[in-house]
Amino acid sequence: MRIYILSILFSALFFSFSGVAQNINIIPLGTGTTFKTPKIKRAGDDFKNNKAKNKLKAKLKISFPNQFSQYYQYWTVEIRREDLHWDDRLSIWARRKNNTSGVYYGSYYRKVHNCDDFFFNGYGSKNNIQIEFELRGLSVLIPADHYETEIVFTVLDY
Amino acid sequence: MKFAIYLLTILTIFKLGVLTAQDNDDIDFNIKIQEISLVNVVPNNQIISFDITVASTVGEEFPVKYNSSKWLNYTSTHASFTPLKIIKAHIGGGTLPEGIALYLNVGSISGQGAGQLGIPSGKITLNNSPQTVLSSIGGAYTGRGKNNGHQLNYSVKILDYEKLISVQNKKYVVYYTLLED
Repeated sequence: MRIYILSILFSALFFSFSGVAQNINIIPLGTGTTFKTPKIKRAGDDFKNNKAKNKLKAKLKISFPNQFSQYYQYWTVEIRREDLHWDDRLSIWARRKNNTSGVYYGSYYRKVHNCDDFFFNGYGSKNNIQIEFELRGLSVLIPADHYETEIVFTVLDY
Repeated sequence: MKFAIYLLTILTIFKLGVLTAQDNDDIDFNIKIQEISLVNVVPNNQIISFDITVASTVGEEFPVKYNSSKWLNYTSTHASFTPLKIIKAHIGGGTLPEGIALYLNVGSISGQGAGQLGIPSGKITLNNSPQTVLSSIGGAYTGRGKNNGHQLNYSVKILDYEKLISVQNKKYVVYYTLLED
């Protein structure tokens, strides 16, 4: 009898922590989703510091339907870039801006690659993890055009 | 107890493999790199003076006068499938006195620039009609200031002494225009 009770307990514990249908949402903040090119003031110059004039911000929300998971479920966020129309000399760098309790790593700028990379981790539901993005590699050597890329965030529980 | 351990092992495998849940969301970013055509002559605070006075020794030919103090800086972006750019030069502010020629020889690229920089056309005789002095400019920047870009080598020569007339100081402006070919 004790074996069966233990088994049920184990099962309950595991299923409460695994595959709990977590949800991730990324919402752009006031600055929008368009990087601006800085104005070149003098002939002979490239774009200053080879960076976009503005940084962009977004709010990331991680939530769990299960009450227990809302407080204790560990998760990892990965980040990748999916180019729609892009030049490889342009790069996007991302960092976690604000200091949220229960969230670790990701506070320094990291380059976003075309494959999933670890970004940061933490536990429980979070509704305001602020992410800041910077565009680097901007140059007049890149053909004049409209470029677009998609930044994909993936949350995995463990 | 053994049964519980087996169950725990199986669940662990499930947890590591099949049952790890995930979700994703994305955000689109964009940037527009505009067409840019900027050109400047440096240093731009000094006038080039050519003093065309009588030769010191009677009967001698007037010597050719040179000036290479100016540099041409430019920044250009270029869109794919559009013509490359050129720089044209012409004299504004009047016509040169008859019998006198003002030449321009744009030097090859120098300094800290990068990209698809212009190819000099060689020595031209400046007049009031725009003439190409640099061609095949793509996305490029020359670097700013003296010793960056292309050196502008001006020279003045008397071509026809018969046509010379006496004129007071007269100022001319050489205009440079960066445009699509």
